This record gives sequence, C-alpha cells and structure tokens, in this order.
Amino acid sequence: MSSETGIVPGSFRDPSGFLFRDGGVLYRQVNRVYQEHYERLMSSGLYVDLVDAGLLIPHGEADLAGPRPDESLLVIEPDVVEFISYPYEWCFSQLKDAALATLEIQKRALAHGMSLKDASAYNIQFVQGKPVMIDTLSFEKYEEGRPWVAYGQFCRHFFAPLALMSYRDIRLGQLSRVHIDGVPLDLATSLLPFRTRLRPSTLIHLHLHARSDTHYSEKQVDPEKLRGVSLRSLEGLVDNLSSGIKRLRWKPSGTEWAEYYGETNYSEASFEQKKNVVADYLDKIKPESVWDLGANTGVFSALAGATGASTVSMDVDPACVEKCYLEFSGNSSGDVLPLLVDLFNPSPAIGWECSERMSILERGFPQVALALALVHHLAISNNVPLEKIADFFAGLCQYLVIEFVPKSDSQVQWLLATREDIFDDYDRESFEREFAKRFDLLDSVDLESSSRTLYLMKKK
Amino acid sequence: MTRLTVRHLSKCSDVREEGPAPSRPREIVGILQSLLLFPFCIFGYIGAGTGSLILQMVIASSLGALVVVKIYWRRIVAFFKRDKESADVEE
Repeated sequence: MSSETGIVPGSFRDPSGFLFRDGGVLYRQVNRVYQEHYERLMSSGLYVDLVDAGLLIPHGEADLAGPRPDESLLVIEPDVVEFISYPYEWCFSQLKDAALATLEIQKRALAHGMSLKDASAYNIQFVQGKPVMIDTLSFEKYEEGRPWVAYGQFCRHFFAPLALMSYRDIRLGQLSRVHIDGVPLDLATSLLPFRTRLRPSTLIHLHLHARSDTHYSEKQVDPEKLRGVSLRSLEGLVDNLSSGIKRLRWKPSGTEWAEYYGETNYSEASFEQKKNVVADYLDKIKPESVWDLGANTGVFSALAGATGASTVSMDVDPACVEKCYLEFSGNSSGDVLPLLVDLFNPSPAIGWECSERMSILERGFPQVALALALVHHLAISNNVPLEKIADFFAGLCQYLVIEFVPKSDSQVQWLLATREDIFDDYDRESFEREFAKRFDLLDSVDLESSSRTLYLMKKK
Repeated sequence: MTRLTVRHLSKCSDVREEGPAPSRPREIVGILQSLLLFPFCIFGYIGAGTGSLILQMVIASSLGALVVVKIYWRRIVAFFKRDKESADVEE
C-alpha cells in the first residue's frame, strides 16, 4: 500500500504538479508553472463540461499548503477512485473504451481552446464501470498551428495494443506491462498482419507512424518548423483515430458469448444453491470491498456488487474478463471492476524504482475474498502447497468465502490426467487443518450433487 | 511504402542527416540553439517525437478535409431522411 503521508511514487514526471497523501487522503499539488493552464481549464467551461459528461474526475480545492509550498499554486482534492487498475489488466473493451474516452476528452478540450499534453492510458481509471480521466493537470492551452504533442503516446498506449489484440492475438495486450510508455510502434507493426496496411487508420496511425518515427529518430528538426496543423486538421486527426479505434473488434474465436462459460461441473440446482449460499454470506458480512479471485465471467462478482460493495473481479481468461465487463460493469445493480489477473503471476510493481506502478497486492486489502472453484487450480495446476495458499489468503483479506474441490471431482481428475499425482496432502482434512491455523471456520455447506464444500472463514 | 520525406516536408527544410562531429564553436552554437529551441519548451514534458509531429503535418490537413466532407454528408443524409419522414407522415 502507498504510505499514508507523502508524495505518491508514480507522480513525479509532470512539472505541473504531483499527487500526495496527507492523513490517508489523496491530494494533488498544482504548481505555479501550471497556473495559466489551470485557470483556463476552470474558466473556459471545459472542466464543467468534462465532469458533467463523467469524463474527468471532479475535485475540490483544499485548504492545504502542499509538500512543496514554494512551488505551489494550490492543492486540490480529487474524488476517490475505489481501485486503481492498469492498462495491462484491462480486457479489450475496457482498453477500447478508455481510448475513446481519451479522444472524446481531446475533442472537447480543442473546442474549449485547450489540448491534452499527455494521453497516457494510466491517466484513465474505471469509476462505476466508466473510463474517467484522473489527471486534472493533463490539459494545456491550445496554440494555433501546433500538432498534438500526445499523438505518439496515444498510439503507443492505445492504438497499437488494441490493433495487436484485435488483429493478431489477445495476449499481446500484455506488452503494455513490459513497455510502460506504451508499445513501440515499430514492434507493433512488425507483429501486425499485412492486411492492416490496407486499412487507412492502421496504415496511417501505426505503419506510417512507425516509419516516420524511425526515419526522424536520428535527424535534427527545428521545432519551430513543426507547426502548421490547423484546428480543423487536429479535429480531423482525432475523428479519424476515433473511427479507427471503433472499427477494432475482438471476440474469442469459435465461441459465442452466450456459450462462453467455463464452469461446467454443476447442475443448475447446485449452481443456484452456491449462489444462494454466497449471497447469504455476503448479506451477513455486508462488506465494503470484495475481490473475486478466479471470477470466471463474474456471476458471483455481480452478487457482491449488488450488495453495494466495491467489487474487483479477477480472472486469467481474457474472454471471461471481457464478458464480465460487457455484462456487469457499470451495471445499475452494482459496481464491478473486471480485471485480467493471473494469480500464478500477479501484476508486479513496475517502473522507476519498482514503485511507479503498484503490484496488484499493494492496491488494497479487500474485506472479503471470494475463492470459488479456485483452490484446485492453485494446488494442482500450480503446485502450491495448501499451507502457502492459506498464508496467501490470510495476508489478503478479513473474510474468506472459499470452495474446496476434492480429488474425486471430475475437474480435479481432468487436471491430474496429464500429471503425476504428487499431491498426497490435497484432501479436505488437510485443507481444513491448514486454514484453521489462520482463520476461524464460521460455516460450511456441502454443495448438492457435488463433492464440493463452501466455507465462510474469518481471519484470526 | 510511400516515403514521407519528399514534397510533404517543404515546411521542414531544416531536416538534415547526422554528420561528422561538429567543431568546438559549432558545438557551442548547437548547444545554445538547442537550449533555445529544445522541444520540451514547445512540445511538453513527454517528448512528443519528431516523427509523430511530422506525420501529423503530412496527414492532418487531409483528415481535416475528410471531417468536413463527413459533416456535410451527414447533413445531406439527414435532409433526405427528414424529407422521407415528413412524406411518410403525410401518407
């Protein structure tokens, strides 16, 4: 977790200001060098326009000096974002919606005589299922004739990964985790199929863009000469990017969304029973925050979201996360944030000093963790001893709703079909013994027509 | 593939290849020049990338014209739609 007081580690690049915490509250210091732009943002009507459209995080002015008062113009207190997520944890449609939101913000900024000076995907967060710009200091006064300075960054952070996911392989979205300032365009174009050269938007914004970047990388150009792009032309650029992004699509091959549900080991009755038991546990706890680990398409995350809990739904399958986002995110019945997370290799801390972007485990301690149909994957597929699994959950949450799946279950049999059974300790007794060392076992229910058991536990 | 360097770049006549190491006085002039003209002051703190800026100069006017065409096309379509709708109502 970030410290309760001090400057936020990922907020050091922009000279316009930085984020800091004071008494656990997140603030943003606006530096004097940014005064002209901040005043334009607030007085031009752009701030109100973007906040009303749900595109920019609202803020209030705080009566604080800030950690660097010599540089400070003022301190603002932005609304709280419940859970910070990163682009490499988003499914295809989340990244696409974040890209379109960024372009819409730029379009509105241009209409108010301003422009985005950066277009980093990290400036977007999901609030109530919708992409929202969280960096209030990303705007600058528009100067007639000047090109969009964040165009290259936009293409690296959004267009390139989306095109790779759409045209080549959905897993290439993970390139954003390696390349913190977006996927290099020459790498993207070397991976994209030939047909992307025949489509105007990918030809221009990726292929020609990459060529232009390479060609001018070692040439000196007088920056004063890099002008002559009219406002209408910039609007055209934004419009063309937007059309190109909208045309990108992704659907898992060979499946229909309606058919996509990985869990097949339940009868309808036992699945309903499982939903009722989980809903009952959540109703008793009334949690503020829930993480659903191995959430599949998010059916149980939606139950948690419906209780009003801030719910993060994590799964390793991009198709499951996509389906969860399309069905449950921003749903009026509750707030669910679906994320692509591989529990065998969760998002690490990355960037400068390994602290610019937090690891997933640093980003919160959920009151309740749901671990349904998950333990056998951790223990058998990933060879994690039950003791370490219990340790992991004890360090993660206050309450745990966990399903034990015994060896007799057909899913476990399927996992064991191609590996040696070295899991002598994998049984219900060992499971209960290890978890009982760290948790109070509050309740357990055997699921009908199945050998599985659901537990409600509270950390000791 | 079309090279972007030819006639599109008449505005960027200062484009030149990296040459041999400059002499001392030229180096100093160069440093002073880059201090005066360094892209950070003009193009923000993220480093916009010369290639990205030049590509915009090449393509943006065409894309701007495309938007104008799009706007007028929508207006024409909307005009005929309205016409058709009012005819339907009269029927």
